[in-house]
Amino acid sequence: MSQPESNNLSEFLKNFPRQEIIETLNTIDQKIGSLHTISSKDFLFFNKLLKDYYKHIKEIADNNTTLSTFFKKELNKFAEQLNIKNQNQQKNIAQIKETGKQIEDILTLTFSQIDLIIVPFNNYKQNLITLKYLLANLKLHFTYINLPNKTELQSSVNTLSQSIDTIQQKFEVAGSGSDSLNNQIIELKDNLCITKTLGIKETSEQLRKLSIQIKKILFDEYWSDDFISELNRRTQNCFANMGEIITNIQYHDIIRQKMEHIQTSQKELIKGLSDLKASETPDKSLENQLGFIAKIPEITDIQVAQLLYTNKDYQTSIEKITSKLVEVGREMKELNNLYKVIISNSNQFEDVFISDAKEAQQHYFNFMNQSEEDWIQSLNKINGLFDVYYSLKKEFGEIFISEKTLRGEIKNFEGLIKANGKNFGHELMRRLLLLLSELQMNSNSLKTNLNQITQHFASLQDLLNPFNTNQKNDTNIHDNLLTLSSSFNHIKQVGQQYGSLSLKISSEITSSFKSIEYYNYFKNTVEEIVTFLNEINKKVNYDNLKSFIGDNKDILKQIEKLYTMQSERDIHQQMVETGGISAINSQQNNDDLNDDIELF
Amino acid sequence: MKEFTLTATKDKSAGTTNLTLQGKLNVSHMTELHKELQKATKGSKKIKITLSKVEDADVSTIQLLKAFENTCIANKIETEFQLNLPEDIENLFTKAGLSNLL
Repeated sequence: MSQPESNNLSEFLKNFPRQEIIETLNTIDQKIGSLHTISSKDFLFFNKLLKDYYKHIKEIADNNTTLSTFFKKELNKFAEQLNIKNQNQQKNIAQIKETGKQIEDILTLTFSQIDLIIVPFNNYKQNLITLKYLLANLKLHFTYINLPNKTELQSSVNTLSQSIDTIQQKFEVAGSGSDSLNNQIIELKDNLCITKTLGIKETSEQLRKLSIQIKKILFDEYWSDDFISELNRRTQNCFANMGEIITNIQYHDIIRQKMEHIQTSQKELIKGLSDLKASETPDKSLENQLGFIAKIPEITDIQVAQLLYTNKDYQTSIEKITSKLVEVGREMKELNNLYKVIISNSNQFEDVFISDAKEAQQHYFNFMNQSEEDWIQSLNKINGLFDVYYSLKKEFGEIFISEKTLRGEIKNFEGLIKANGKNFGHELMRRLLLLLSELQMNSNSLKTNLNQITQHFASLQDLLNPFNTNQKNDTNIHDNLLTLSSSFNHIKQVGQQYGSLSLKISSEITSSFKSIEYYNYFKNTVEEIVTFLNEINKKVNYDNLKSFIGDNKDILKQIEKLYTMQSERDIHQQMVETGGISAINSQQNNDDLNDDIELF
Repeated sequence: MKEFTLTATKDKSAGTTNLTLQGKLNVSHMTELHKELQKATKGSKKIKITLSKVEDADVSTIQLLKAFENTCIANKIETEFQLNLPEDIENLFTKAGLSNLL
């Protein structure tokens, strides 16, 4: 270097506004520092939001599992239990009605059988009268016929006559007993409580209606079959969005590092500027210093590019976070709507199904209670009837015993007739024996009828005794309905709770965007820094320096060494090669950031 | 009004008395009936008794008629009975052998 050139350079260095540039660089350093603070605040805010929301969404997801278990499994289990009990209740009613019908039929049969008694009964009575006439005839004969054993014969006829009188008296009693039994049966048939209860059709209809309602639970009448999967889908969407938010929050570190690199290079510049000593340095040293100054515009250009790129990174990151938060908020709103539907359908279910079920149960229990009461009353009446019948049967039994005695006496009389020695009374005896056989025939007919009536009464008592109260209690769905109601209350409560929570999260997300300060601040600050860096460039007066500097790339290489990310190196390289920021691909986005993550 | 009636017509030339008995001819009216029969038989050689439109009859009726027949036989009065009884009473009397008595 010649002396005049050396003097010019020295003069340039003396006039160089290094202190102003140092101050500007310090201001830029403070600005970047403030960016750090605001950025950290925003990302910490997002981080906190994320943690809270993740916790809540996890709760919602767990709750969805509970809801899913309830609607997919427990509700079906409830429905199955209710169905079994409903079927049993219907069966019980059908059984009671069937038994009642049988009782009615047997009563009708008994009544007919008692009615039928009248035929052999009257015949028997007629036989007794005829016997009496025949004995009168005999007595008449004895008034004008002399027989050796007339006294014995008369005595025997008197005995027979007395025996017939006895039977007739007993017959009179039996006759009034039979009439009384008939009347009681007619009254019982008309007023039998069972038959009145059996006429109640409402209970069966209610139970059939309930049965259809129960089937509707199983066939998703009240709840659309995909609402659980919709709940899960929405929750999973939230998780997916949260995952993306987490990824974007992590970019905060990358952005911070990029700005730290800019700060470090700034500090290097300040140090370099502080070390400039124009008056005392030899020529070679002057050249080096001028070379350093000459590189300042290039360095600031790179920093501008890095800052713009970092701003772009930041914007993309914030936009991603906010858009994902918006999606979370939207999903939360949808979740709230789904919860509302669950609550509304649950209310509808309770209004329709549970009230119907309760009504059906009330009908069932009224029917069963009435049946039980009727059953006991009917049993008492039929037992009373049986007592009347039993007395009647006993009276008939006594008649049959007397008849047996009569038969023995007639046999004695026959002996006496045969022994009368005058061939008297054979025709009358033949008639007597004929009447006796008719009597026996009617008596057998009476016995057959009475035995059949006895069997009917035994069947009636078997059918009526006892009323199984377990039928009523075993099928009680009261507890099931209580549990179901309680479960639905819980479901509604949970729906309300998580619906409110979803809505709260959604609202919070919307309002949270107002709290993001960094977005505008970063943009404005970066613009200010760029202005400052441009000012530095002006102050350096690069055009004057061009003639002094050679091809010294050492300083730029030192700056490049500070970078830890490929993107930074790329920008640096492009800036050095093309000499401007316009060449930088302005479309760089978070895809590039993804490449940066591996360098942490 | 009597519950039974006895109508007597006489054929004086033949000495025949026709007696027609109607109504309730049972034990309740036997005394009355007995008296009426006694009145009707005086001066007759033949008595023809017809039972018609009988509402009720019992063994006492047969006893009375049998006793009346025996009395007539003892007094040498010819008797003839025509019993138009209701079916049930006819059956009862037949079964008891009473129809054969007269």
